Amino acid sequence: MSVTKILIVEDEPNMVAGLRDNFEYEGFQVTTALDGVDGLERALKDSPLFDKDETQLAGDNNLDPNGTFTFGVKIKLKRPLNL
Amino acid sequence: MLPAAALMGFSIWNLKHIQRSGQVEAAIQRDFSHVLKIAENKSWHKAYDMVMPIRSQFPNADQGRAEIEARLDRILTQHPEFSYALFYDKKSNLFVSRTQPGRDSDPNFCGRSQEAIKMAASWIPLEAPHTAAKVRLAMQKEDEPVLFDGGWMLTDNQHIYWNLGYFIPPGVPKDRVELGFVSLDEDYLRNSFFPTLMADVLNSKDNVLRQEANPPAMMIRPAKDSAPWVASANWDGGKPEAERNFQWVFQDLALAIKYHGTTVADISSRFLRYNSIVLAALSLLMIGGIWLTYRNVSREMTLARLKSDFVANVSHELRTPLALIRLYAETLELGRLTAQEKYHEYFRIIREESERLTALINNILDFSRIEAGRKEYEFKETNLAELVRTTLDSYRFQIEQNGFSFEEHISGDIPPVNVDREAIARSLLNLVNNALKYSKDQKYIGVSLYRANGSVKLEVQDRGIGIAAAEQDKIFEKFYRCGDPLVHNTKGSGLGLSLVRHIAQAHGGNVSVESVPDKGSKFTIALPIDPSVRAGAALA
Repeated sequence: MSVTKILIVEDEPNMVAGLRDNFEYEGFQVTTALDGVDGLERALKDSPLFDKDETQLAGDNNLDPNGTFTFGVKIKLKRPLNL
Repeated sequence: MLPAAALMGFSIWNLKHIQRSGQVEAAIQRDFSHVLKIAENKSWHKAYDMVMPIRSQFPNADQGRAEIEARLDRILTQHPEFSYALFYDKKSNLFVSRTQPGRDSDPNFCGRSQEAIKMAASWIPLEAPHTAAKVRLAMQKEDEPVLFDGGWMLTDNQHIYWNLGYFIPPGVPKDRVELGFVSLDEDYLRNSFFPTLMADVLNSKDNVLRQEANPPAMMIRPAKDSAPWVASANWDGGKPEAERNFQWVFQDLALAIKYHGTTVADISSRFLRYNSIVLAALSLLMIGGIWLTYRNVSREMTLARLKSDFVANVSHELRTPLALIRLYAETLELGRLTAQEKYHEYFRIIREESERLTALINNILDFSRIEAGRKEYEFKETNLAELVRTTLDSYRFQIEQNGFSFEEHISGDIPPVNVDREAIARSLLNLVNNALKYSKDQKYIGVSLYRANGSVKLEVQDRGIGIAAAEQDKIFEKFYRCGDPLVHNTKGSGLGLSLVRHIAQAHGGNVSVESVPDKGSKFTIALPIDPSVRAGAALA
């Protein structure tokens, strides 16, 4: 049986450490990210749902002078979502 | 805003309106005309009151020529201000003339009197019935038995003013035409009668024109000539503001009046200028008021926004340590830990988070006390070096554990200073905490305590993200937090520095910052050594 992966995105390091300990105790494989950009990168890289090769940044990506980065992501799912 | 603008607009319109219609000038002209009317009235009364007693002494045709002459001489002797007296009886065609006996030796006087009498003698016999009818009519209608006539005549290339007060002597039957005439002496008129009259009018308490700087001046001139004949003492030439021809007495003379040393046009333009200045000042005040109101409102709005940010920040700040304490306590309780050192780490984190929570709550409590004006400090003589060292010692572990290199310079010559221990320790912790929070790659904190210029300075330096110049003034304001509120990536309530400043000021000192973005910041608390400075600050 494959190990279930879990991604924790949280900027408080103590919170990350505590959650990691608990999730690992419950048998999850834990990856962590301290901010949103890092979290998104890890999600795209590690997600079992997305086809990594077909996933790309799309649309108008742009960094405005205030430091806000707006971007679109085009993803291809490995299987249809069951909604 | 709108009513203020409307008021201003109205005032300007009003001022323009005044300017256009010359209301000010018209008002002054009205006052001048009024004064001239009073002057003529007075001169009539004065002349009338002089002639009336003479009329009652006047002879009539029943008394014969010699008696008439004697009576006229007596009258003239008693009234030296008259130059000659005439009597005419139509029935006996008797014309008697007498000149002022007191001035027989004055050739000039005699000459002009004779000329005037000659002229009178030529018209009185012709006009007598008509003149007597006029007098009788006046007696019937107004009960005024004396009428006046006057004018200019030319003799020997000289203009002479003649005047006559005339009446029907007492005891003359209605069917008889008898007339008495007296003439006021020209010298008397010019030297006494008119000057006194003008002085009376100008100095009267009812004179609406009275003013200190430019008292009004009057003159009397021939009706057909603009040069003054008699003028008041302060007459300074120039064009009169108002004029009036005599009608009831002294015909062919005119009264003229003006302000001494100025003109109505000047006064009205001064009035306009004054009003413009007042209006401008009022407008400025109004604009200032509007600006102040706008500034206050926008300040209040900023403060309200900061307060709501503050509530969001603080709730987040309170919940984070609480959530951590709970998470770690629950994990311990569930017995999920295996390694011994994990236990230690967990206890440490729980302790640290409790401390963080305590510090935050202390800040909030302090702040609310300060806001309510109830914050009290306990000033005691304190060894600052020892205070700073102990405070940092209890924090050193946490600083170094966060990967910061830490330097502490405490100079040896720090005198004892009167401070509130807890408040100073809290200020130091707030500054150190900020240094921890706002450092990225260059993890350094330096604390120095030294003596300079009559005060002790406590410096906290970091090599963190720094503060933009534009924000350096604002960071000490309550609730203020640097940068874009949407992208806060460090925690904070926006109270720390405002508390530090309040504490420093309560000690009679201050707090300042030097900072360069991306290079780091240096906060300095200066505390005066001399306690009287603090007392002064507290009084102020």
